[in-house]
Order: sequence, then structure tokens, then C-alpha cells
Amino acid sequence: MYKKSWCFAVLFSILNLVSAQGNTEAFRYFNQGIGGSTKSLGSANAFGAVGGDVISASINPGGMGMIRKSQLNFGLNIHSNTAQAQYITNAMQGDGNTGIGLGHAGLIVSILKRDDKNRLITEGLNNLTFYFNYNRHSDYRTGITFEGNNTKSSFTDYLAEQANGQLYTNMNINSLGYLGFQSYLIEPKLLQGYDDSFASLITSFNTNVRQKVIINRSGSAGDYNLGAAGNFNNKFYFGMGLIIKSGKMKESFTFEERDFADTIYSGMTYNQYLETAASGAGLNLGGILKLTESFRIGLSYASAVRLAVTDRYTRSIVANFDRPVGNPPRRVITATTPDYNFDNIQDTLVYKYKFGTPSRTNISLAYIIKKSGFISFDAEYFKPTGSKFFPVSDNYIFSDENNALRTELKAVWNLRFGGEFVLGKYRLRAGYAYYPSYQKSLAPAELNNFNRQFYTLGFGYNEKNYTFSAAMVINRMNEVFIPYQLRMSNNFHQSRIKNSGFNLQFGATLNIN
Amino acid sequence: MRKINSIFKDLIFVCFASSLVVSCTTIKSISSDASQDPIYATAKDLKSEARLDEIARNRAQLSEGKSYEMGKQSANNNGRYDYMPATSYAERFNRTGNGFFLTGNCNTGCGNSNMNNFNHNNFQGQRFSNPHFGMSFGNGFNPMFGNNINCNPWQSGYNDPWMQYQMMQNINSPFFTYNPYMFSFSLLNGYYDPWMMQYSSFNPYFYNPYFYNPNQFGNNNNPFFSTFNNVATTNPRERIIEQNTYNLGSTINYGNNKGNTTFERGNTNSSNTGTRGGFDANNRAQRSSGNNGGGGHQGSTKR
Repeated sequence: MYKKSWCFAVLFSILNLVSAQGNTEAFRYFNQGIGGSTKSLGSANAFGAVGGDVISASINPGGMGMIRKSQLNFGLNIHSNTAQAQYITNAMQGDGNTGIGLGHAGLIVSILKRDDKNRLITEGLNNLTFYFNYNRHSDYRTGITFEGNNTKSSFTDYLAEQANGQLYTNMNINSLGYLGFQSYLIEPKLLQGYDDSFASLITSFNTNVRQKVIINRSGSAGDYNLGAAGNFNNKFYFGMGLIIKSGKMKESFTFEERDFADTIYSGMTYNQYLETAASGAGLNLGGILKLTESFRIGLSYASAVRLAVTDRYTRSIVANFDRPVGNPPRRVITATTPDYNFDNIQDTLVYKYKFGTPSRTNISLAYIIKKSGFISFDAEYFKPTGSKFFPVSDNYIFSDENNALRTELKAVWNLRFGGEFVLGKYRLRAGYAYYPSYQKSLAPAELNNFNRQFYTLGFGYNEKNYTFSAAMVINRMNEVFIPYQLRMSNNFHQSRIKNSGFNLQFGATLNIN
Repeated sequence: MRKINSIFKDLIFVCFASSLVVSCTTIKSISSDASQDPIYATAKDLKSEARLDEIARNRAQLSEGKSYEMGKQSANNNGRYDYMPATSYAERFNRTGNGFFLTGNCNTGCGNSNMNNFNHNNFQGQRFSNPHFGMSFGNGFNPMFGNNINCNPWQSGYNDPWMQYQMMQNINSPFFTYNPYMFSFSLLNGYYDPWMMQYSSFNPYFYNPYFYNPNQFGNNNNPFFSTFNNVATTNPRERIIEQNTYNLGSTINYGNNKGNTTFERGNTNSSNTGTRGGFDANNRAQRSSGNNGGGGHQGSTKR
């Protein structure tokens, strides 16, 4: 099963503590960053109580009620991620990935209410805003490379473990163990009398292999928002909408191994290509209250969302030997996931499941300094222990994974600070966001390494009928990646990765009435 | 030397102070840009926006001749509507909605059906052709003076004193003291004294409250028809009061909120004994000549 091999994949944060399976996806889906509207991005998305911008559709729909002009908006995001990775005893090794994507886009229709004499109403419910908008909040784009000499285990040991429990005569042909078996990297322990237990072809007690991992990822996640908001008495702004979460990621994962020992084994290359898509719908609602013209408070709630996830993947192993093996004997043997329709092209395998992301509650404050600027603060409460996997493709109930999510994570407050300074038609913005780690089992000092931090700067130019904005985000995030972990010996090496992300976004809004 | 230094210091101080004032003013003026920004829009801004919107709508309606406020705009208690900067009387005339039938310009020839009003052959068969007779009276604007045949003078501005202000000041009238337009139509038609109001039924720029001819521009070409359609769609009660106040001797109740009141009234007044209500009682010609005592421009009232 595909899920059984997921511990290969990237493990955000300290995933050696949890069962690796599934948490990769879990972290990916609830680990929202900052993004969306270019205007708000410059202020680190601290727009919960500020309102008046399309990011409100995602953060606090009440803020959409402040928009009194119909408009189109569009933003283009350039994301670059540099990863410095260290593996075993090797020094830091750098890699990166840069790409371009949609930051935000949408349509807002504002309807100003009029009295029977066709005059604009300024009291009571005086305008309604309908919106359909996309705000991107996460970017998966990255490139990671690391390598090192491993003297404790080989990837072939892991293949053997994966194959264990299956009769060598009746293996699951989609499984990783089967690929190992087909590529002659593992053999059943027939001589010892076991036909469902496997061993690596490295029979020596001394392992000495050089391992290299190359990961390339692209894709992003964001929210589609569809809803309505209103303005009551210019004091209270409220909104409610449908939030459709959508994410896509493509990942190519390569694990190479070269054997230094004098054995039949020369090396292997494992390739995995994965496309994963997740989507689900929930509700969000919120309000902003102007206590005075200067002081605003906001409160919003985004419901839990059950994401339907589909993984499409292919895998292959190319094994190299010092002398020919197999029948017919070959020095290079390739094993791939199957070709069920016999078109000589490796089939894409599909695995489906569901993942329930927890709700989010956002409390926010903003102080508007007349017409000269604002400072704002958002605190978002998020409890990842409420997340859960649900089976779809099979009856695997994810009990271990769900238990790990429930017991080893903790609720956090994501904090965002932002500000804007008005200089005539120009706007200068800055912000800072702090997203703490969800892990609860580590000492605070260690946890600090896994907190995420975002530094933002922004610039805006406002004309009567259009605005132009640019934003820059620098983020820091550490993670630990474990290429594989042997269950029997609890033997693993982890790669420590320091991610530096750089986002540049350009956006514009155009009033259409 | 000390004095020079002192002057220099004063100069610096003045420069500094003035630049401070200028920069403060600039910041204040540029900060107002934020009013358009929904983040910074206050309740006061929204009220201001509503007022501007109302003004813009009224103005648009006026220029399209659809304003239900048209009757009120000239009334004393609605004088605020009278402030309409206009470069010429022609423009103002159009803005009030009554000029809609005078469309077309010098370049369009007779493409517009109303253009025949400005063809000398259609000025009731009477082309102004006697310069001694016409020009010797006052210094009124004769829009048809010169080679302006087939042109709509209210659109073109040709010979319009408001467009060429010196035209208001000549030997006959060194100071402009009265409405330069009031003679125009009569002059065109060869009648010299508009105050006598004879033939005034042909003059769309001069209101004679005692005379109403619905067919003065020919059958089915009543320029007030559309105006009354719009008038009747709004507050009929208020209109009745106004009309009853100003329309002397009128016994006709046309405030019955019907869409085609004018048509109905036009039919019933074919004997020319009723009131002419197309321009309401606060007709511009009447006001300018009466209320302003010749001291103001036609159509304007005190604000």
C-alpha cells in the first residue's frame, strides 16, 4: 500500500516522534502560511480587524463589508525557497527552487443601498458585498538535496522490512517490498525456513553506503471564498461565506545509494513521483466592530474542513550489481509499479483518503491612526489535535496516525503583527508573523527551532479607480527529514533542513463601477 | 553686516515657516486620498460620499432632462439646485432639461430632426433680414447673426456672448445689465420688443405665463411634453401646490399623477387660455428679468 511507505516523504518538524505515516499530509494540509492579497501580505496578513481588503474573505469575512466598490483583483506570486540540509556527518548542502504562481484573484460586487428617493443610505444596513475570491496561503515549492555516508543501515534493509509479512509468492505488486524483491535487492529467508521474511542482499554486518536524497516539490494551497458581507451603521461589519480549501503538490523524490563494500551490491536508485490534490469545503464567518473610528476589534471563525485527498504516484527502483544476477542475468535491473493495461507505460497508482482539518478562531485588534496608517494584531487559535484521517480507498482506519495527531500535538496561537503608513497615494507596509510549532513533546528550547517566522514588507499605490501593490516575504522554517526508519532496530538518520523562503508578489485591484 | 545677517535669518525663518506650512498643507491634502481607501473611510466619509452621489445623480438627471427636481430647482426654497456652473447659457439651458429639443450642431447639417428650427426657412417663414431693424435694438444676442444658418446656436456657441464675453460690452450697452438672450428669438423673428410679449409663444427662452401654445413648434413637437412626463412621476402634492401658487388663474388640475399629464392638459388648453407649465412658475426668463432686477444673469438666483 502506498500509505505504508509514506515515511519516505518529507516530515515536517520533529516527525521522528510520531509515526511517520500520514503526518506528512497532516502537516501539509493544516500548516497554512501567509499569503493571498498582495496588500495584506505586506502587513503579514494582520488584517483580521482592519478589513477592507480581499484577504478578509479568508481571515475575517466581516472585513469584506467595508468594501463599497465593485472590483477585480489579481496578484502574481514569485516564490523561491532555499534549503540548507545536513545529513549524517556531512556538511550543509544547499538547493533551491523558484517558480511563479497565482497569489490571488477574484471579483467583488458591492451593492450600496438607496432609499426610495434613490439616495445612498448611510445608516442601518447600508451596503452589501458579494465576493468570489481566491487567496493563496501556502507554497510547497522547494528543492532539497543532501547526502552522507551511512555505516549503520542501507535502504535495502528498509525494503526488506517493507516486504516482511508477505509471502514471496504472493506479494502485493503495488508495494515497495515487491519492487525490492523484483529488483533482487532483497531475498526471502528461505534457507532459514521463512517464506514471508526478507533480508537485504548486503549480508555483511558492516554496512558502508553513500546515500543521497534529491527532492523537488512544487504546488500551492489556497482558499476559494464565496460569500456575502454587510455594513451596519458604519459600526459593525459582518460576513459569512463558503470556504473551499484546495491544494495541489507535485513531488519527485530520488534516493540514491552507492555501496563501498566489496559485495555483489553496487547501488540503487529509488524514484517516486507523486501528485497529490486535496479539496474540501467549510464555512467561515466573522465580524468587525468599530468601537471608535480609530479602534476596531474583530472576531472570526472558520469551521473544520474535511479534505478529500487523492494521491497519484509512480515508483521505480533501478538496482546495480557488480556481477549479473537474476534470470536472465543482468547487472542493471529495473522494477516499477505495474502496467495493468499493458501499454508499456507505467500506470499511475491512486490512493484516496480524507483528512479533517480543525477549525480556526481569529481574534484581532486594529488601531487606525486617522488617515495616516494603521497598526494591527491578529491572534489565531488553532488546535491541530482535532485533525483526523478517514479511509476512502480501503478500510485502513489510520488508528496509529490519528492517535499520534491527538496525543503528540498541541494547540497553538499564530500571531501576526502588521502596519501601514499612508503617504498620499502611496502606502508603506510592514509585518511580522510568528507561527509556533505544534509539537508538544519536546523541550521548549528545541521547539524554538521549528517555529515559523515571516517578515514582510509592502508597497502600495492607490488611485481612485485602481490600486497597485507589491509585497515581499521572507520566512524561516526548520524541519527534520528522515529518509527511512527501520522499525526493528529503531535505526535512522535524519537530515536537518533550514528553509529560507522568499516571496515576491505583485497585485492590482481595479474598480469596476 | 549685522543687519544683513538679521535679514538673512529672517529670510531663512520665513522660508522655513512657509515650507512648513506648504508641506503641512500638502500632507493634509494628500492624506485625503485615504478617504477612498475602505480601510480609512469613516462614517463621515460615507455621508460625504452619499451627498456627492446625490449631487452627481441630480446633475446627471438634469443634463438628461429627466430630473424630477426640475420644478424645484428654480424655486426659492430649493435654490441650492441652481448652482450649476455653466460656460454658456446654452449649456445651462440644456442642463435644465429644456434644451433637449435643440440638439445638433453646425456640422451635422439637417441630420437632426430639430435642426429645421434653425433653418431660416423654418423660422415661421420669417428670416431675420433687416439689420437696421434688428441690431439697432439693444445688444441682444442674435444667434443667427452671420453665416450661422443651419446651426444650432445653443450648441455651437457661435456668437454667444457667454462664450465671447466682449460681445456683451459694446457701444450700446457698455455694462451688461440684462439678459442678452431675451431678444434673440424675437430678433430672429423680426420682432423687436420682447417685453411686449407679442409672439412670445414662439420664443422658447421667454416664458409668457398667460399664453400657452402646445403646438408652437409644430404639431406633435411639443418640447415640454417629455418634461412633463417626468415631472408627473414625482411628488404630485408638492407640484400641485407650486403650480397653484404660480399659475395665475389656472383651474386645471394636472397634478393627478398621470404619466401623460401634459398631453392631457395640452388638449384641454387648446384655446390658449390656460397656463403654460412647461417651464414652471419660476421660469428663468421671468426670474432674471424680475427677481434679479436686471442685475444678474438669466436663470440664476441668489444662493
